[in-house]
Amino acid sequence: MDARITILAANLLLASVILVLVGYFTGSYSVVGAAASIGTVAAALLTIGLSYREPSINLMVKYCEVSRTVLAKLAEDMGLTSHTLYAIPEGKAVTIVVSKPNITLENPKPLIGIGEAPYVAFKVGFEGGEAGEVGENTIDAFKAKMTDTYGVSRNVEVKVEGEECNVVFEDINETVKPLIRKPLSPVTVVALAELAKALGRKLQLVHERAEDNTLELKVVLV
Amino acid sequence: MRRIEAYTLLATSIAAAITASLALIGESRVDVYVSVAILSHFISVALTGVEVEVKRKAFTTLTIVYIAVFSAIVAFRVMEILYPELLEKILTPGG
Repeated sequence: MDARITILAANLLLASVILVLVGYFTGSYSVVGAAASIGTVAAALLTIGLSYREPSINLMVKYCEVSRTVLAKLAEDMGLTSHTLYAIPEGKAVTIVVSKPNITLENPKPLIGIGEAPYVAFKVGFEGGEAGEVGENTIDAFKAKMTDTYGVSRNVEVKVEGEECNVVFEDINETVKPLIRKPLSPVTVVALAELAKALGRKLQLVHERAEDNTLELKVVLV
Repeated sequence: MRRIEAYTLLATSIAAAITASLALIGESRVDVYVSVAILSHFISVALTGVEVEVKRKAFTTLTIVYIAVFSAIVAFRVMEILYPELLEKILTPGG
């Protein structure tokens, strides 16, 4: 959706309705005609504004699916059938590691390696400050990033209780919906990386549930 | 400039120019204004290619609706010239 065009179209539609009424009651059919013309353009603008999406989004969705398949196959071949995700912040980047649950990871190197267990790792780079530098509004900044910058969902709920953190994405964007499936959902990967960067702590994903247009993540701060 | 912005600019400019011209010459037939606005939409779409930035289903629905409305207007006008009696019979209640 393009908010600016939608608001413009809604205003034009309102103006055309008022003009139709004015024209009809004053008996001026030129005014009714002009209003109908405005209404026709407004209806087209409203449809286009509401159904607008970035032209490259389909390409990105396809590319994400292909990359995910490759990574999932790689993890499977390394014996990581029951794997989980870790996010380890390092300076301006976060290393995402796919490995067995509840293991100690010491400086995992991209792309594949063997520590306490075999792992697949990749780095997610970020612009801006170092990890953990967000400050007091850490959670708000994370929520804003996920909703405004990435447009993942309309609402994000984050609850931090001790060393546990629950993240719920509600009303997920239609375009992103096909991407919230397990394993290695790009939404989960990016959310985990952003959260690790915001908190400046190593995280482990312990629970992931995708349902309709909701994605629920439970992570523990390691 | 994004295609959607180009479309908005073009469609509103064409529609505004033609609507103002029609109003100035005292045109009072509403269907003329509507058909010209529909034409301005299709011209703008053809020139800007905005359909690639819009979800296909919504855009197809809009196109079908506008073509249907435009065809109905044209059919009505053609019938008005060729078969005025038949049109009057159809439009007269109980006729």
